[in-house]
Amino acid sequence: MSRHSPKFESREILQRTAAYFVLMLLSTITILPFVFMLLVSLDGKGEWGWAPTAPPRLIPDPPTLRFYAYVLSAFNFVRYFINSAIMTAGITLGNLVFGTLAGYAFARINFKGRDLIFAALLGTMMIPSESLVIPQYLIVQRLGWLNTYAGLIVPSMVSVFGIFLMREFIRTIPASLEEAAMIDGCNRLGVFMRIVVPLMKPALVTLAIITFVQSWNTFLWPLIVAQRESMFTLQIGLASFREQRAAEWSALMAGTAIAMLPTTVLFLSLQRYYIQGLIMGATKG
Amino acid sequence: MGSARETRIRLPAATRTFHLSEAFSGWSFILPGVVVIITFTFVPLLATFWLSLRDVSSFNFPGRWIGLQNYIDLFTWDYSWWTALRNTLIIACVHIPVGIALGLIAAILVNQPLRGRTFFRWGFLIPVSGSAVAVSMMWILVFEPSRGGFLNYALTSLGILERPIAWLGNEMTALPAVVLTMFGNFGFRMLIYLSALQGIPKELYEAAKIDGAGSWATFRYVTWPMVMPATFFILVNNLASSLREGFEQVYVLTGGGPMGATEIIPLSIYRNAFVYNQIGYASAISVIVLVLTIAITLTLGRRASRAAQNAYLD
Repeated sequence: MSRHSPKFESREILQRTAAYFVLMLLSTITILPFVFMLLVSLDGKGEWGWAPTAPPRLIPDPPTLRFYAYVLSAFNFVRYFINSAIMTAGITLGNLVFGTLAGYAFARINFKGRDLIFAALLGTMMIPSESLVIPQYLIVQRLGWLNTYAGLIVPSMVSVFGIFLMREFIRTIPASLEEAAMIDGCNRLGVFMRIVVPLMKPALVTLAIITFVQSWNTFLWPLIVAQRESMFTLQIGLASFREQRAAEWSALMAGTAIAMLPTTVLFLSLQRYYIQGLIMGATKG
Repeated sequence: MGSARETRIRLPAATRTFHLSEAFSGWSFILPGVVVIITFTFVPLLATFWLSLRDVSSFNFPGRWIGLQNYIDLFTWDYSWWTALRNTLIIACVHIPVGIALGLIAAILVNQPLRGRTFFRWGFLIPVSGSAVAVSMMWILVFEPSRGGFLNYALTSLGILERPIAWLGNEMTALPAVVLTMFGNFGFRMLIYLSALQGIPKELYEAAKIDGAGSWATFRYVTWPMVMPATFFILVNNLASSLREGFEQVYVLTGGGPMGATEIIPLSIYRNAFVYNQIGYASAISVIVLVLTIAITLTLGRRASRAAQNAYLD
């Protein structure tokens, strides 16, 4: 009887309304700027698209994709996109290969000094990358890697986080399969390739997503290393476009949308893989 | 000891010949990774300390030894360093508690059986999945200084503002504006809290209901203590990253201006090293960031991640 009393229902409605109100408030600092960005990027008014008139135009009229074509063709965003893709692919691939190799050795193979090396590696996870950027730059410069893909990729190609994540995962796989294979005469590399890697799919997906999102979005390192415009990544290209063409709002927002597209799609579709790695990875000891 | 002997007896003889190559395969498996990490982490780590004690620029490399002079200069007459330090602390003090609160509130709400919660859950993740540079571009649009800017128009037509404000160009509003854009990044905290909330046994809520607890009491005595490990984990991680946070936002939104109003530590590292070419001086700032971050992580980080792991990962 009391469950459906009018008093109960009105309280329920009140709570619900309050919940939606707070969700709306949270949307104003997350979803709303994103919506504005998309609307402005599609606004085909006049030659330059959206301009700040009062009241601000919300509906793209006429809607157009020409600013996407414009930044991609006239402003080299295709080039930036390719650079970002090569850098991200290189870093992600490197982390998968070297992370699983080293993770396997640290999890399974007994050799002298293993635990000491592993402890030393783990210790570096506390180091904020920003504080190493200066000597890293000097090293890359001495190697002649400024304005090269090697300079963008190699310093991030191996991460202790990746090694750690892979090691933790391999330790959850029972070792009996590998032992059986080794008794049959398989060596470590064979065991690794034929038995361990096929079992590691979920861990590989987790590491791949985390690395992909991180390296696609990275800013400081390419800002320093890619000084020549032809080596800009999307993030650098976008920042530099804004410095030159601050008033071309529709084009700027089209560039922003392009820079966000890959990671947003990937992250939103595969986020369940993300969270576990996130908790495991941060400040590990 | 006894067990080690037993294993040896049980294993067939073939494994012993393998034992020789174990060290070899172990080392060759870790070698590529270790080489990269030595070159780009261990060497730079030592080099940062070394550079911070020298008067060095890229024209004058490796410069000369000047002891602690860079650190003395930093604290005695670099006005912009004090500004950067102050702003970094202000950002941390405001952003960390508010960010934690936003993450928890968002998690609780999208965990309710509300219509459209998936939409909000996904939408709240947009700012953390897109790059900080791109997200800052959206905010530049929102903060457009004329009356036609979205924020200015909303506030002037509601009567809150009389005239439009150049949010990012005004010394009073630039730092709050930057912090506001950071508030949008509560997505990760929401995800961590969500997994924490989903781990709370339903019986606890049922028991609270039977005891006649209202929603506040339920939150205070069931939810809040149960998500404590998550809160501790998030707090420590945010503290450890507070000294390096915000570079992209400030670089894009304000460039550290106006008049140093949004100058922060990572920006001063970048600017001193790569714009003013004062490598030794910038390295001294790097060392300070390094030492403080490691101190926070060593004192709190281990416990925080262990608590979070014990509570939420099996």
